Amino acid sequence: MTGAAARQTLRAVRVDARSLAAAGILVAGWEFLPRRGLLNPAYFPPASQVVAALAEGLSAGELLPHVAATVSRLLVAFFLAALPGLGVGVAMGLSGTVRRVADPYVALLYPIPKVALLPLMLILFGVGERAFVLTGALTAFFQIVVNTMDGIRQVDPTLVEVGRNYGATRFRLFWKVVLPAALPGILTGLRLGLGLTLVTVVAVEFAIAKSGLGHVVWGSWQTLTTPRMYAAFVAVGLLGLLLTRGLKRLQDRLLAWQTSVDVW
Amino acid sequence: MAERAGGTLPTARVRAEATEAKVVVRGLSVRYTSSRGTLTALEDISLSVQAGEFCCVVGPSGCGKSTLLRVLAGLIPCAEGEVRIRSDGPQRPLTAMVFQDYALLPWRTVLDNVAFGPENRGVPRAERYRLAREILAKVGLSGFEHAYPHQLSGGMKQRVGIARALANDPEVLLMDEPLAALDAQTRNLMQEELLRIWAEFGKTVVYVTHAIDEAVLLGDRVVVMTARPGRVKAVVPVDLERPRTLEQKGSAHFARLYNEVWQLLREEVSAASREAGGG
Repeated sequence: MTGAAARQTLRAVRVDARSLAAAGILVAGWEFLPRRGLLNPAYFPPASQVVAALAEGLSAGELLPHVAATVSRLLVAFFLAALPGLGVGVAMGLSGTVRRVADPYVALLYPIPKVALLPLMLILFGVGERAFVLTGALTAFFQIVVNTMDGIRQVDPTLVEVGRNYGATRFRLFWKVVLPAALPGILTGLRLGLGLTLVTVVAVEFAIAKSGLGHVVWGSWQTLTTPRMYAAFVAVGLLGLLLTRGLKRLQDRLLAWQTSVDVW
Repeated sequence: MAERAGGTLPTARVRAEATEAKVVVRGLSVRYTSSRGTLTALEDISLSVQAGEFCCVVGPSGCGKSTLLRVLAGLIPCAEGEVRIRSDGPQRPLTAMVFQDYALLPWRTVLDNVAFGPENRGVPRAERYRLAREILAKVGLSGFEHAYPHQLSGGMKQRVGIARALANDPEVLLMDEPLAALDAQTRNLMQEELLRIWAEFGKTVVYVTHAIDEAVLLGDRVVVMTARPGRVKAVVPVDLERPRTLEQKGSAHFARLYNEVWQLLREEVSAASREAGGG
């Protein structure tokens, strides 16, 4: 990769050069400590070995199917959750009646780590993709519901008065006033939902799936192939970075009208 | 022809064909019932506003000035009494409100904010933009069509708020302390602006304010309200010469009018602060 292309990639994922420098220090330590025998290289292989394992796994195509498995589970789970999550969140945000009926259930289920529901999903759907994906989808669903509802409830009531006084129909009041005003909260819910779904999907793969990056981590641990294990960690991390940064970019573009402040 | 306000609530706020005045409020009361009892916000308000009149309403905090404006705007149902607003054009909206905190839609450009009312009524894009540009020019905002509200100063935001109301071409312009969020100098400038804009557009205005000097400078009449429950205590006609300028604030005539309103208001303000202090 040329220097210019590298800079462009960095800008695309919004990584500050100083942030990269910090990573460099970390990686240097990671290389140095095992090599000098200060850390047991069987458990903590030097960074170069992890990078080599990652490069080999990707170029030999051994890791790629696992990356693909994780990504496809993640995306299917996310989109499966997004539509109903937005729908329920909007309904709960707009209607006090819907909120009073549904809120106890949401409040009850939201804090449960959805991985804990994996056994239930396995009983309901058998061991297979459906159970894995639905467990991930539940994670995203509740996050999206909660943030969408809050986003709509926090809309400035004066803006709703503006809509009414300026002749907006109920339809236009929703699409032209309430929804744009609630968009920051809604997009935050989608971003958090995506990140948490990755966590859940990897955990599910860890526990039971026979493919995916989580499976690679667990399999490598059992055979003490630690470079491969760390390579899978790194791959999960990069995946999370790319996905949430991508959504953040979309959010910034859609919400160019917002002002934000760096306090420090 | 009855108009339903706020979507679903039936009200006695009606579009009238012929009335003796532009706005007629008769026996209007507004009460809020909660588990802790009934709160009377407005009690037996009767008021007429002539076509083209600038009518100011002053009163202590919490006296229901904003509630009165919201009933006129159709945002709060008029449960007791009636509000009649004479319609001189069947398609014209009855009211357009200018809000204290501007209440611009922050994701819309200035142009799209001003065109919001006509857009809701289905006016084609080219036509509503032409109208919006024309009005923006009249409030001194040419060149800011494509700016977003967060890029504007407070005074400019409120000019957008006023332009948005004028673009909707309402029968009655409602203004809810429109200058209260501005600094004192900008407020002075905007008072002059309002005088100029009002003279140009000739709108019927109901203008709620805390500031006595503002009410006297702008108004044809000043309606003084009592502490809660809000009633009309007195109506002070303002016979200052028009066109008015800020310089008139220094005249003895202005001072007399200011004092007259303040004497009426004084005991109401202390009553209101006693109530606030005593819970």
